Parts: sequence; C-alpha cells; structure tokens
Amino acid sequence: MQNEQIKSKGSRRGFLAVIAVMVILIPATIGISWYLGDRKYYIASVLIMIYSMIPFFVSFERRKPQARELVTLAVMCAIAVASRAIFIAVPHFKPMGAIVMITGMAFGPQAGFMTGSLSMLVSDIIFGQGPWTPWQMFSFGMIGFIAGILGRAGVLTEKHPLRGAIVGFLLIFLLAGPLLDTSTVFTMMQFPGLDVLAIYLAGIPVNAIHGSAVALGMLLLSRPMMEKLDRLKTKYGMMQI
Amino acid sequence: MRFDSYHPLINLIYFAAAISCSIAFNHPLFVLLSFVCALICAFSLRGSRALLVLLALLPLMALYTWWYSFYNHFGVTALGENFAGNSITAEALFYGASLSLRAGAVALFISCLLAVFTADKVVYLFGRLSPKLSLFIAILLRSAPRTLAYARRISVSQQGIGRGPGQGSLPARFVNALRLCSVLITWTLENFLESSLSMRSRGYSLRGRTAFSLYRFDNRDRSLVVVIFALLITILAGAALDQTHIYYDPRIIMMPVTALSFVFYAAYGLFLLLPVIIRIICARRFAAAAA
Amino acid sequence: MAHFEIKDLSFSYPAAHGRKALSHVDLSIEKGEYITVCGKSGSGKTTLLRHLKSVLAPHGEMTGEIIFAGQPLAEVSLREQSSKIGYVMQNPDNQIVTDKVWHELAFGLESLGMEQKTIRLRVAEMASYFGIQGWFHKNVAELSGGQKQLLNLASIMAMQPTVLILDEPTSQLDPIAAADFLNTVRKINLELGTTVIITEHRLEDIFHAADRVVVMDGGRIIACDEPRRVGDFLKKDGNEMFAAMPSPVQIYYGVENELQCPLTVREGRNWLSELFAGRQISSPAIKREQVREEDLIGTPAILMKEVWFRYEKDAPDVLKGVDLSVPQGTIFAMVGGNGTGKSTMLKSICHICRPYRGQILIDGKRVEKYRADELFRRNLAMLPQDPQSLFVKKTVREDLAEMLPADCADKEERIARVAQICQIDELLDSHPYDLSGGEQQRAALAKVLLTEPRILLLDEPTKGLDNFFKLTFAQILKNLQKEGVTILMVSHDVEFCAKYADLVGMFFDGGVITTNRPDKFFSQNSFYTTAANRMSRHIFDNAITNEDVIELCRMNR
Repeated sequence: MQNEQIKSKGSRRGFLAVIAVMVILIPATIGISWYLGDRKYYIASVLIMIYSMIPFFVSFERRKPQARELVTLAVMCAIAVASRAIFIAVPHFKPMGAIVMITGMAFGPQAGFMTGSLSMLVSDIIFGQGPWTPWQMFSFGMIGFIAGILGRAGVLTEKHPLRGAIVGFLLIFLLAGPLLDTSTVFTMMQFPGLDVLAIYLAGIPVNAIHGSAVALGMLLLSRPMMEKLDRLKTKYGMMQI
Repeated sequence: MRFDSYHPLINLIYFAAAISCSIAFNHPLFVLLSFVCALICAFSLRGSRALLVLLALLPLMALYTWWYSFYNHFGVTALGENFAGNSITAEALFYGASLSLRAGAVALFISCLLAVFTADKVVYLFGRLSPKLSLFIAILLRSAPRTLAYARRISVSQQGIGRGPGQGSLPARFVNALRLCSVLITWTLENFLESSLSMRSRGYSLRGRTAFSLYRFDNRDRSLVVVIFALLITILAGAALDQTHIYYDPRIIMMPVTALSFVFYAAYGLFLLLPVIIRIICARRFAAAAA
Repeated sequence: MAHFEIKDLSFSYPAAHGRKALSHVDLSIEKGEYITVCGKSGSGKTTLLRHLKSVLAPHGEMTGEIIFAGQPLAEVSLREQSSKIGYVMQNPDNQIVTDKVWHELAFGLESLGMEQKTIRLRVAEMASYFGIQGWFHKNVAELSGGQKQLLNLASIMAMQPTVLILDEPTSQLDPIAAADFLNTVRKINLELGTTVIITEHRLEDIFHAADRVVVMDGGRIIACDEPRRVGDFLKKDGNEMFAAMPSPVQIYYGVENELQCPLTVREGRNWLSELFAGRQISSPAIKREQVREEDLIGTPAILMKEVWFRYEKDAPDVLKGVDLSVPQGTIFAMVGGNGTGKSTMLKSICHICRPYRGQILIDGKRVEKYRADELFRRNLAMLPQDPQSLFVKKTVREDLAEMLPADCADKEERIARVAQICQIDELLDSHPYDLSGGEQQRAALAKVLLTEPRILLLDEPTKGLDNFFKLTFAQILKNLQKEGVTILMVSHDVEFCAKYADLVGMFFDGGVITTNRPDKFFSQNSFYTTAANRMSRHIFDNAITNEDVIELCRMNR
C-alpha cells in the first residue's frame, strides 16, 4: 500500500516535470515559428499538440500497467474504433466520443486521454492517416481527459445520463469540433483570402450533428456500459487505472 | 532491395531530412529540385497512384500562386495591375510559386512516407521511444480488427433472429445497433480478460522486459547511413554558405552561382533521389545475378 | 522424483457456500508422462489444472499442497513458473495478444528479458519445428482457428517449458485441425520428453495415447490408471463418464467377450475380426423402415434452387448452384469440411446473404418476398455458432424477457415454457456469461425459440459441448421436432449427425454433393463417417452408431 503511494507520487512528479518542460517547449516553438516567419503555424501547432500528448505517454511508460489494465484499455479503444464501423447503417451517428468519455469516467482522466488519442491513432492506421491525425488524437484525448476529471469530481456519473449527454454535446460542439475545424483552417489558411470565420461557421451544423450523436450515445450507453464495467470490477477485482 | 526494406530508422531519418529541407530551402533551384525529386520518388514508390496525387496538387498549387501574387504586393518589379488597382509584382509571383512548390514537395514526400511506413514500422519506432506504448499499440492493432470481427459475428447472429442493425424501420435499426454495441462490449470485455490471463501466464509482469523486433541494423544499413550523412553535411554546408537561400523582398537577391554551388545542387539532388537510385542499382544487380 | 505432486488439494470458490470445487485431490505426475484428465463439465478439471500455475490459480479457499519438481509451487518464482510451466487455454483467439505471428512467438521471451539474438534463434527454431515459416510474417487476423491454436502452442514452447498443460485445446476447432493439433502435442511429448497434462472431451484422439487417464467427478478423482483399466472401471462402476469413452471401448463393453479391449479403430477392427473369426455372418445389416414417401414430397420447408452467391463483386463464388430440399418436420444435417460454404448457406436462407442467382423458397414462398418481421416471427430463426453473441442482459430471465414485446400479456408463462423446453429452469437468475458452454447454448436456444420458429437453423450446435450436453441438446431437438419444427443444422460432428438426424447432406466446394438417410449416407462413405462404421464396415453393411454395432454383434453370436 505504502509502496504504491510512493510509486504514484513518483509518477506524479514525473508528470509535473514533463509539464514543466512543456511550458518551456511550447513558447519556444511558437517563438521559433514566429522568427522563421513564413506562416509555419501549422507545423508549430502540430508540434505543440504532440508536446502536450507527451506527458500522458511518458506517465504511461513510467507506471507499469497491469496486464488487465492494458487489455481493458485496449478493449475500450477497440470498441471505440469498431463503433465507427457498426453505426454505418445509421447515418450521421458517430458515438465514438461517447465511448471515450465513458472510459474516462470509469478509469480516470489519464486512461480517458489514452483511449481517446490512441483509438484515433489506430483507427487512422486502419482507415487511413493524414495531416488530421494529430488533431484528432489531441481533441479526442482531451474529451476523455475532461470526462475523466469531471467523473472524478463527481459531476459526471452514470446516475445522471442527461448531464453526461449535455457535457458530451458541449465537448464536441465547443472543443473537439472547433479543434478539428482548426486543422482545416491551418491547412487552408495558406490561402490568405479565405475567411477563417467562414470555415468555423460551416463547421457548426456538422459539429452540432456530431455533438447530438455523442449526447445520444451518452444518454443510451453510459448506464449499461458502466454496469458491465462494474461487473468486471467485482468479478475480477479490477482497480482504477 | 527496395528503400522500404532498409531499417525503419533510416527511412525515418531520410524522410525527416527530406521534408525539413524542402520546407527550409527557398532558393529556386533547390525548390525545383525538391519538387521534381519528390515527384520522381513518388512515382518510383507508389507507381501510378502518384499521378492522382499530382493531379490533385497541380491545380491547388497554381491557384495558390495566383492568389498569393494577387494579395501580396511587396517587391519592385511590377508586372501589371489587378482589378482592384493593386500592382502584381514579379517578386510576389515568384515567392508564391516557390511556396506552392515547396508545399507540393512536402505533400509528395508525405505520400511516400505513408507508403513506406507500414503499421509494423510505426510500432517499431514507437517501441524505440517507449516499449510499453509500442506493446500497447501492438495489442490495439490486434484488438481493433478482432473487435470488428466480433461485431460482424454479432450482427449475423442478431440478423438470424430478425434484429440486425440493417433490419426493420429506422428507429428499430437504431435500437438494434445499440443492442449490438452492448453485446459487443460485454463479449469483448469477457474475451479480453482471458487475453490478459494469457499475458500474465507468459510472464508479462516480470521485470526487465525486452522488446524484440525483426529489424536488424546490418552493414547494408550502416553504409547507407554513411552516404546519407555525407550528403546531408554537404547540403548543410551549402545552407551555411547561404547557397540555399534567396531574398524576395524588396527584390530577388541571391548568392552568385559558383562552381562550388553545383556541388551542393548535386548533393541535394542525389540525396533526394536516394530511394530511386537504390532501386535502380538493385534492379541492375539482380538482373546481372540472374543472367 | 515426481514432476508434479498434488497432496490432498481441496478448493472452494468464494460464492460457492462451502460446496467444494475440488476435494481431497491426490495426484502424482512423473516427468515425461502424458496424462489425460476427463470428466463432465463442472467436474473440476479446469479448476485443477489452473492450480498448477500460480498466476492462473482461481481465488478462493485452498487447502493442501502442490509440489513442482521437489519445491512447493508457491515458492517457485514467477519467472521460473512462467517459462517452465506452459499453459494452453480453450479459445485460440483469446490467447493471442499481439497483431503479428512473429511478435506473438517472441512475446514470452520478451517477458523473460532475453536479448535480440537469443529471441531470434528461438523464434526461428519454433517456426521451423511447428511449420510456421509459411505464415511467419502474417497478421494474426488472417489465420485459421487451427493455425491460431498452433501458434499459441508454439509461443509457449518457445519458452522451453518442462510441463505443458492444455485445457480443452481443441474444443473450438474442426475435427481435422483438432487431430493435427493433438498429434503435434503427442510429438512434443515423444520427441522432447515434455510432460503433458491435457483435458479433452473428444477422447477418440487422445485416449489411446495417454499413459494414464484421470477421471474426475464432483471435484474428486475417481479413477487414475492406464486407459484400458479406466474403461473397465467406468463400466463396472456404471459411471456416466462411460458415455464419453471412444466408440471401440463402448462397443467392446456392449458385447460379452473375453478378448482384450480395443482403444482405436484399428484395434477395434481386429477385435471384431477375431470375434467373428470362422463364423458365418447371418444378418450383416440392420433392417430399417423404408423411407417414408411423404417425407420427400409435399411442400418442403426450405427449398434452394441453384443458388449462387459471392461476398464481393470480384471475390470467388462461395455458393455454386446449391440445390437443397428440406422436408417439413425433419432434422436435416449438413456435414462438410471447414470453409466449404456451409454457414454461408444458412445465412443465405435467412436472407442475410443475398444470392445473385437462383431461388430460395421458405414454405413455397420466395424469401425476399417476406417482410423482415414476417420472416423472423413464427417462421424462421437461426441459432448462431457463438451463443454469447445473443446475450444482452444481466440475467437469463431478463434476456429472455427482452425478446418479447413490452406489452406482452403472458410474458412469464412463455418464458417459463421455453425455459422448460430448454431445461434451463434453474439457470434463469444467473448471469448468462457465468454459465458453462452447454448451458449458454441452451439459454441462447431458449431466446431463439421465443420467436416461435417453425424452421430452426443451427450453426455448429455441438461445438465445444461435451457428450452429456450433446445428449441433452439432442433430446431438446427431438422434442421440438415432435412439435412440428423443421430443423436444419450444419455441423462437423459426424457422430452427432449420424445418431440424431433424419437426413444427412454432404456439402463440398459450394454445393450439396449428396443427400441421404444417415445409415445409407455413412455406410457409403469410407473416410467421412463415424468411428463405429469405420470399425465395423468390413463385417457389417450399415452399422453407423455404437448401438448399431452392438446390436448386430448380438444378433450374430
């Protein structure tokens, strides 16, 4: 028990150290891209996103994940990936975000981030990568992360599916959707004439549909999924990740 | 022996260098070299599919050049006026063209990179950074298709009793799809717990885990590294001598072209064409050996 | 020195309320022995095997002692246990962790912290020994079930274990892959001297090879001896496990004689020859009632006319002109190898796969003319290969209720009725995933039966079931048949089809080759037939089940 506490403290310290490095790296990158001029915002922004994902991956590397945790996370990612394919028969319904959020709620912010970002990475490896990959990884990672924090704080539980639905909608509509639009903005911004605002405005209906799908997914999936995870926790004695 | 059969680290170094050089160098000859070589590489590595990329790229690049010169008015050599009465300058036009060629070269190199970097290599390179993460990704690459296969099996089972996600009215389909999702989660979770047992049974939790890979760094790889670094150093020397850079604002200024410059050009072209050259040499050798 | 020594081992699961899963087990296993453990489902086989490796040992209350190579198992380090004790589980898919064949082979060696060079050598060695070179670079997802299980075995053998424990390793495989796998295990035992402890319910392939057979019943070891004596013991004891013995053993004990008990088909043939040496066979065939004409005329329940199907436009055809007629009220069994398109045929009958040529008629009406709710309500239903893929809820009862419309008035009654038909009354409040394979199968059947089908399609219904569950399952099918249900099943299980089907068809290369009554069908075949038939065909004409052979033997004595 004591040992575990020390370990978790150690991993937290590592986490903080990496964040400190980030605090230096990010402005440095912005500065250099500024200095180089030439509108290298896109590359700078991708670099920043990659930096911001590093602490999660580093802390994953530092703590020795149990076989069971590793596999459970892998399953959640795999289900998130599969959900992309399952709902092909139902147009415009992309509940992947809901599964990422539920993982965050059940296993904490770090697990949420890992699930969100890695399920995007793997689904892109399977279905095709592109310049959007880091953006997707980052935005879905953030969704899982925030859902995890809200879950820890007791705001998001399976007892309030409506709350989950609202949060889900907002996260997609205000965070993930605009972030993904930003990736479009950056690729398109090389064309100075194009109105940045127009891209964001064009994104609104798409994001609203996506957000509603995730909200619906949260409404319908959060309780049964939490029940299933709880069953496994009691049957096999699984811990929080 | 194709370029993609070399060690993944070499592939990575090559593409990283090629892409950064294409971004950084704005000397017209270098820009042109980047673009042409990228195009040749793309054709050599991806065959006719490179043509599609090219066809998509060309109009975008032309559009961009026109746009850039239309909205930027630095430079002193006026070529004409646009409808708003602003002057179109040669400097802006050239600069726009160089930007779009560079962007095109980068896009082509990225398309080559995606062709060379299979999932295997991605996992391997991740593994060099973080063995656990790489193992996790390997597990994910196994579990994602497996989960999809489960989803297909469940879908068939449910269709067999008239409850498939493609059967019935739209609301019924939705409910059926959700049910499928729910079955999928329970089923995969139970199955994967057995996977975790199998991991532990084979000593996953032991200390001092190593990461095995099929890639070997052999003499062939070493000699290519020497070549790559020799060429890169030459190119960087050129960059240090300001041979790779020109100024467009207020007017086009570049370093005088000397005999030495041609060494840099040759080094750059040679470097970018490495995958193609390797391919040709190997094809020759193979033909010679077979004959 | 014994390799494993189990001394007075008792164990109970936490929720079992004192009921012991293992009680006072004593067993000593020598180095290099080949031990077969058999017993009904739930007799404690798996529980016993799992105790032989600490990381897999179930949680619960344990007393007694296990000694591994002279040292208490609890004191043997994790590292040593990982490499020295190899454990292969039931489901081939679940044990594979990584995405590549080569990586899976290396997984255990990576855990042991070996360096690149050593791993490279070991992996190469294993790939060569197990014949994996051809698919060494493949993705795991592309492998067949048999290849996957072989990969599991190889990746464990790479760690050079001294003992190999296998828990029903072939229950998910087709018979040919299963025989291959068991031969490989046998080869390992003979060539490397690795101790083998294996549980199986298909005893045909391993009973004769075992040095000793351990029989378990209710958590106890009731017999532990060489195979012949175990057969003798079970017969004298009147134990139910006798029904799981290989056909030659069962037939031997059905006929009074003083000869030695045969264990394999070859021995069985010699035994029969000896039994009837110099004697005239007066009645070489069993007289059966003639084919009832009305079976074959009248509207068939399912009629397929030259059905062609492929999964994708450019893919090869899977169904190549299937002609099939299933008479109403019969149990029709379709046998045939793996990947011949049997399951696809079932899917096309359900209209899940849509043929591009040919017709499928259900009760004389084309299947595409039915609306989805018409087709699957009081008409047609399919029991899938994986019963788990039907379970949604937390208890079997809720799961059954979920099948009925919410406003259904006689819900409880209907659930009680199907529960009774499927003999799952006592399981209604369990979680579907906590049931054993055979129980899950019946719960899934109950769920399917709630659509009140008149035509029932079964996809490999006996996969992974032991002989007792098969018996129960066959009874359920016979009862359904009495109520007028037509049953079409596809199966690898020749013995099961021979015993319970009215008609048997052979499926090969996308088409039905032949259809006949089981006795005619199997007595025509010389390879693809039951063990009883293979054993007796040189003397009797149409004996296909153990009972047939026994009866004919008695008639001719």
